[in-house]
Order: sequence, then C-alpha cells, then structure tokens
Amino acid sequence: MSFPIEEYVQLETRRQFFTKMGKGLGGVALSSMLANNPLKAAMNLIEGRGALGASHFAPKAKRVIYLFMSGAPSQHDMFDYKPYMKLWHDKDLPDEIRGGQRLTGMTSKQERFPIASSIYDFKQYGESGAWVSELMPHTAKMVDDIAFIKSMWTEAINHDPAITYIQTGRQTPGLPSLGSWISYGLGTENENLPTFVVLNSSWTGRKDAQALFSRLWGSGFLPSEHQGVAFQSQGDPVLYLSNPDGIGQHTRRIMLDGLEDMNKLTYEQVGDPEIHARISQYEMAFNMQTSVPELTDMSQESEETLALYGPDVKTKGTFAYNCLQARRLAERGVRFTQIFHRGWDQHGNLPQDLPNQCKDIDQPCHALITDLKQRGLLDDTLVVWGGEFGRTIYCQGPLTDTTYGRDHHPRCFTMWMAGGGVKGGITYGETDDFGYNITKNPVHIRDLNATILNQLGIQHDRFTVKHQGLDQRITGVDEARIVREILKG
Amino acid sequence: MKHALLEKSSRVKRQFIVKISLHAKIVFLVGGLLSALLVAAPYVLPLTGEAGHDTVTAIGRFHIIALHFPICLLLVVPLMELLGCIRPMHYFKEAVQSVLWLAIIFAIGACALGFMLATGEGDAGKLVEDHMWGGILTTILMFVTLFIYELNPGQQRRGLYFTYLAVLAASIASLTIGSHHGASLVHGDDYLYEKAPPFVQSIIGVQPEVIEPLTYDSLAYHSLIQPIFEEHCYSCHSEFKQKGQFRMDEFALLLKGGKSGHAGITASDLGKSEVYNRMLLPLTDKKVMPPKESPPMPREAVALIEWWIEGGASETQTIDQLAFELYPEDIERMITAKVGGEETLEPLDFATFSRISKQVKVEFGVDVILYSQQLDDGVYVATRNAQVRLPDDPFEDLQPMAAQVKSINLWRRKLSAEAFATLGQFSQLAELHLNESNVTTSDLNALSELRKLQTLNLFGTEIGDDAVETLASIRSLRTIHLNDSQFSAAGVSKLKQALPRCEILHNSQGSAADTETKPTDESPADQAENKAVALK
Repeated sequence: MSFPIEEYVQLETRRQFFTKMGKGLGGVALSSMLANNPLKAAMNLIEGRGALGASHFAPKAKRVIYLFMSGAPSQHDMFDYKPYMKLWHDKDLPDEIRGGQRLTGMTSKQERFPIASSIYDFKQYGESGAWVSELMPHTAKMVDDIAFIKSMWTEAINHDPAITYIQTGRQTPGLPSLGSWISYGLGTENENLPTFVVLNSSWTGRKDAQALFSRLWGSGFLPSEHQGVAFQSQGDPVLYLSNPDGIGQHTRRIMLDGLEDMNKLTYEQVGDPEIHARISQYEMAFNMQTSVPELTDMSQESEETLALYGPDVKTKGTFAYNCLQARRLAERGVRFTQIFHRGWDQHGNLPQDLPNQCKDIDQPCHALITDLKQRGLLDDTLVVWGGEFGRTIYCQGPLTDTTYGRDHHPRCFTMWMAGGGVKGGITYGETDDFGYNITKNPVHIRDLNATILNQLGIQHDRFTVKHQGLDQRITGVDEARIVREILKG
Repeated sequence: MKHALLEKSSRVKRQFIVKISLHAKIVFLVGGLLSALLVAAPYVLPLTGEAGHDTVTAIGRFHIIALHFPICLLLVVPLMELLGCIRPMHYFKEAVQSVLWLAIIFAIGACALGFMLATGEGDAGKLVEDHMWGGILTTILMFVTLFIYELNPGQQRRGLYFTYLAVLAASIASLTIGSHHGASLVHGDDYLYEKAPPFVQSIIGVQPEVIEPLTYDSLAYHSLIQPIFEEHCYSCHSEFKQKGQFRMDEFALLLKGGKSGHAGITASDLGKSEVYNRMLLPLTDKKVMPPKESPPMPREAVALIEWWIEGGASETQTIDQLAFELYPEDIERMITAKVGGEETLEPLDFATFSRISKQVKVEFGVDVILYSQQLDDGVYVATRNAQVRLPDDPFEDLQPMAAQVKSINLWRRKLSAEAFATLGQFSQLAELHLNESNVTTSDLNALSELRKLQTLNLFGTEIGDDAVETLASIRSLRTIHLNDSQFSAAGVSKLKQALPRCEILHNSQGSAADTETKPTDESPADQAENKAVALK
C-alpha cells in the first residue's frame, strides 16, 4: 500500500511521476484536500519538515553560516606557523618533501622552488595557546571559541574544480550544493525568508579575483526551490521585490492567487515538480516583500554592535556588512547562509594584497562570533571558515625582499569552525615543518561536509537521493568520517 | 489410717513420679551434651567477620538446603498430633516420636553447617548472631520437647501431654523467629512486605518511604551516593552483617575501611579509596566488589562515586557546592536527569505530535518542531512565524506534550504576564530564549519551578539587578545571557556568587582570549635554530 504524502513528497521528476501514475495518483488527490493551498502545504508539511521530516538524531546546530574565502587564503601567513622555514628562506624545496605533488601550469616551468617563509610575526593567544599571525589580531582574540583544523586536504589543484568539489562533493558540476542539500533535507524555520541565502562580498585585496558561478549554490538535481538565493550586494538585495508603481500588496495577492489556481490545474495534469518550485518561489517572493526590508534595515542595530563589526559595516556589500546580515539571518532562523569573499588568490604580491584581504574579514569574523554568542545563538549556529585549498610554502614568481607569491596547494590547508557543538580552543591536525604534508589527522573536505551534516543531526550516508542510478549524497562515493575530536560531548 | 494416708500420698506421688524410660534417659544425655556443645561453640569460635577456609565455606553452603529438613519435620508434628485425634488415624500420634528424632538430627546438622558457613564466609553482626541463637535455641527446645514426650509413653498423662504441647509450641515459635532472621540475612528484612499491595503494607504498619525530590541543594552524599551503597553494598556491609569487618552505613566507618587495612574512602584521592578501587577490578579478580554473585556496579554509579570522591567526599556538601571545577558532561547529564524527580515521562507518539503541532500552527502560527526522528528527543517551540499578538495562553494546546518541550524561542515576542506564567508547565525545559522580549523580573518567577533549565537568554531585555534572587533560585542554570539588559556589573558579580557554576555573559565581562598569552621562553627564531641543530 502506498502512502500518499510520502509519494507526493518524493515526486521528483516527471519520469518518476509517469511511471507511478497507474498506482500513484493518490498523492495528487490527497494534496488537493490539504488546506486550501495544496502546493504551499506540500512545501511546508507540518508533520515533517524537509524531505527527512526531522533530522536523524538530535542536532547540536540548527543552522550554518559558512564563510567562504574564495581563491585560497595563505595558511602560512595567517595560521599555520612554521618557524623552521626562516632557516630555509630562499632555499629550494627538497624533493622528498614535495613527494611528487603535481604542479599547476603556472609554476611547472619554474626553475627554482624557493621557500618563502612568512614575513609576518606569529604569537600564541588565549588559554589554548593557538598560533595566529599579526595579520589577524581580532581572530587572535577569539581562539578559545574556535576550533582550527590545520590538516584539511583535497585532490583538486585548480579553483573551479576545487570550489565545486567542496561545495557539491564532486569536481565536475551538476550536483546540488551543501546548502541545497540541507534545505532539501531539513526545510526551513522561517517561512518568510529563503532557506539558503548567499551573500557575495566585496574585497580589497587583489583586484582580479577568481570568478564564482551560481551553480556553486545551485540545486543540481534537487527541486530548484532549494537553490541558494543570492542577495544583491548593491541596491535592493532582491531584485524586483517591491511592487511596480500602481500595484499594491492586495492586488499582488489576488494576482498570485489566480496564477496559483492556473498552475495548480497544470500541475494536476502534468505533475512537473518545477511548477511547484516556481509557485513556491512566487510565494516566497511575496513573503519576502515584507521580510527582506525588515531584514536589511540596519537602523535598529545599536552603535556598539556596529562598532563591533568595524567601519566597513556601514557600507553595503562588504564582508562586515554581510556578517551582520548573517547574524540577522540566523536570528530569523535561516538555515544556511553562505558568505563568499573573493580575492584570496595571492599568486604574487602577497605582502601587498594579503593584509587588505585579512583586514576585510578579521574584525567581522570576530564580531560575528561575539555577536552570536552574546545573543545566545552560537550554541546552535555552526560557523565554518575556509577556502577551497591552501597555498604552497615555496614562492611563485621571483622571490625578493619586498614581495613573494604562493601557488595552489591541495595537500594541506587550514579552516576553522565555531559554535554548533564544536569545541572551542583546540587545534586539530598537524602539518610537517614545511607546511607541505600532513603529519597527523588528515581531514578531507568530504569529512568536513560529513561533520557539518552531523552537527545538523543528519547522518551523511543515510541522506541520499536516487539520481542517475546512484544513491547520491554530498559526501560522494568514498567513505567520509565525522571529525569527532573537535566536537563537544 | 496410716495406710490410708500412705495410699493417698503414694497416689499423689504417683502423679508426680514419672517413670523415666530408657529412651528418655538417652534423650536427656545426648540432648544435654549436644546442647552444651551448641551453646559453647559461638564462644570458642566467635564470628569476627574474618573469612575462613574456602573448604569450610563450601561445605557450609549446604546449610541452606539442610535447614529445610528440620523445619518441615518440626512443623509437621502438630499436624500429626491433630490428625491423630481422629480415631481411625491414631497412628499419627505414635509416629511423632520418630519424626521428632529425625527433626533433631537434621537440626543439629543444620546448626553445624550453619556454623561452618558463618565462619567460612566471615559473617558478623547482630542479625547473624540473632539467627544463630535462634537456631540453637530451637534445637535445644526440640530436645526438651522430645524429652517430655519420652517421659509420657502413650501420652496418657494429661499434664505431661499439655506440657509437651506447650514446649512444642515454644520450639515452633523459636523456629519461626530464628528462620525469619535467617531469611532476612539473605533477602533483606523487607522481603515479605516489599512487594505487597499498599493496603497490606499499611495494615502491617510499614511507613511508606518518602522520596524527597532531588534538587541541586540536596546533600550530595545522602541523595546520590548513599542510595547507591544501599542498593549494592548494605546487604553485606551494614549494621547486621559486616563482611570483611567493613561497615558502610555509618559515614565514619565507611571512611575508615575494614579488615584489609586500606581506607574505605579518602577525600579527593581515588587511589587511596579501597571502595572505589574494588569496583574497578576485573570481574575475575577475587577481591572485586560487588562480589561475583551480585550484579556488577552500573557504570553510572561508578562515575557518580568517582565524581563525589574527587570532589572531596563530603557528607555535608550539597550537589552544587561539591568542590569540583565543572561537572564532567556525562555527570551533568546524569544529575540533570535525576534532578526534578524521577517522573515517568509519557512517550511522545507521532499522532499526538502531529495533531497538536498542526493545531498550534493553524491557530497562532507557533512552530512545534521535532528535534529528530527519535520522538524521545523531544520538541522545540519557535515563534518566529507566529502571528503578531499571542493570546494569554498560547501554549495551552501543548499541554499534553508539555514534558517533551526542551526549548522555547520567544525572540522579540510581546507576551502578557499570564502568558509568561504558563512557561512553568514545561517541566523538562532546558533552553529558554527570551531575548528582546518584554519579559520582566516578576515574569521570571514562573521559571523557578523549572528544574532542568540550563540556558536562559535575556539579551536585550529590561531585566535588571533586582532579578538576582529569582535567577539564583534556578539552580540548574549553566548559561545566562545578560548583554544589553539592565543588569549592572555589580548585579552580575552578585549573580556569579550566587550561581558559581553558571557562565554569565554580560557587557562587563571581557572575553577570555582577549589577552595574549606570554610567549614561550624560546623566541621563534631560537626554536627554529634548535630544530635546525637537531636535524643536522
């Protein structure tokens, strides 16, 4: 016997609908009996939220804020302190350390691979004694609240495959992003805001930055209502949100109701779930007409709060502004907020560009964590910071007294996590003295994703969707482990 | 006349002259000898609580089987006397003699075995001695019964007959009391009425045990540790029985220890606490406590005892005061689970949840969300999507599953005082977010009923220093958010003193990581140099 609601929720593709049509019309029939707005009811089934209904086990975090540093921040100059490299400055990287690591096209023609030790000072901070460079003084203040993972690694060596890999679980595009998976699985806690919000930030470092593609927050094969909604960084956060002149809310509502009736008819005939997605997005847009202006109205924030984030917070589209936005989104129960900050790809001119990059994010990161903590949100909000891979210890281009650059390095890089059941004040994983290889506790990016899902109460290997003959999951085909050592309890 | 008087006196004499038969003489001699032995034995080999030879114990363990014989045989004697009153069954009365002889023989055997058992196991204490003397007395009385019986062949003389019956009754009474003591030794003295229905218990006059609800102000030893000892240890180490000369029901004696010479408990020193060490021995070890025959200590109990000992093993400190930095998380969970009474929570079923969450959603827009697919994990309540005005009792519909609500979010809500008062119904509430709501100090009074409340978010509220007392009464609190409230630094420090275990976030509290740690003695350059040297 088939269960109509289950069927209904699982109607994913037209193909599946038609194969089941003979036995499966119960779902459609029932839906028309559910409330006067069957499509909306299906979108937000009260019994269950999201496709999972409820997480597999009790979650520690209810939402995620992902601070993505696109371009790959240089861990040698920010967090991973390698004092031994001072003695190796301008000496070639030994072959036994490099261990046959493939080089990118940019450096493969280099004759030398001189080690560029960081010119920045590192000190230990807090009770945990974590090492942080002088470029990140505010992050240094909060080391006891965050968990560093120094042993992240990936296989991808170039930006697009790497960022696609960490966002979607595979180097080639086409799969849903992490935020979409979570939106699909757990649904939303706030009906008037998107479940997955993307905020793109301006940057002051290197002018030419790696591009971002909207597929990085796309929904892949999942219903398209789960894609990330990217707020515009200039002007209206959401385009065409306000009604055109002459149309009031009431008129808009009548129009939408009528449109919905027509789409409902089509849906009953054809069953294309994209109709459902379209309607749900119209409804969401309607709700957002009121919720988004309220969200972006920073005038309510106290001066102290604004001072916490630094002067950039008053400028729309900066990382600081987006961090404050993210905190407000967290207050309102938005499930997954991803802030992209570009410009970290320091192939050259590192001493010129990196300090600006760091300045963009350092104070806002500290402010975000502090703000969340004060408002009692940090315990159930997981904050993740990191890029798509790391940078090499050796210099790309000429190594001079005043400048150096670093190439891509997938074998080890640093990320940090805070809140949402993650232990504060620890450093997990170690790299060798050259900062080239991992010596202890490697964490693959799929392990990171498994851990994020774990904190949301989702068992990553049980959370699958059948597509193209495979039980697809964000962590991919290989085994992923949850990094329990950084978790509380 | 002299002849008549002689006749009368001889008649009278005859009444009192008892012809003592050979049987009676044998009984007298044997009985006397054995009785003397039985009485002397406890003085020759006193029960000191030291364990004896294993062989002695092994044989002595048959006491439990052996004792059934004299009991049954003795109890059947009055039955036989009764049945024998019926003419056609008169032979019963004649058989009494053999039965009594058998009963005595087995009784002696049982006493001997009992004695071997007690000395072998190393039993000591009042209850053991009471049982022992009861058994000895019963045996002696059985001898006397038999002796009087033998004095009256055919049971012709009514005087002697009734005397015999009286002594028989006495020996049965002694048997009853003695064997009751014996059973109490093995099963505990509430064995007979423990499981009886309450009305029976009240007839007997048993006082029902008043279980005081556990709070953070309860004495740690009396409310958490002593019940563990009572359940697992007192059967062998208390007032009535002291195996290994170790008594645990008096605090001073618990600390002192027993025959082994090691201290039972040493404050803050697990290594010197024999009670603790014995619990951790492998089950195959001879000295493991509880002994092999008893179920091993549950891990939860061991963890609690470990925490109590490390915290100072105090008899007088409350759970809150126990000088131990932070509860380890699992202890925290255990204690939080116990505090607030062991109420049996109704398990949540999906149909109820579904109906109520829909109802509340449709009526007020309040979200009731399952924590997970395991319904036992409970639910949380969020009001972000709720209608602007919530009624005075917005959570009325949640009443059937009030015990499942673990967290409520009332961010930016404006509720009436009556509405705040209803928060007290959520007995299992662990987190309450009242940030930027219109909560006032008097509204917080409803929260003092909540025994499990750990996180209270009062960010951006009008709550001020006058709430210190109310907040201090919620002993389970572990985190309070007071940033942007009306609390002053002075109020916060007062609150910190009242709730030492609680983390209080306030504008006046700087973050711990604000200060730089002192750099290590070696400068980084030196460190690098040293490494280089080592590598060379």
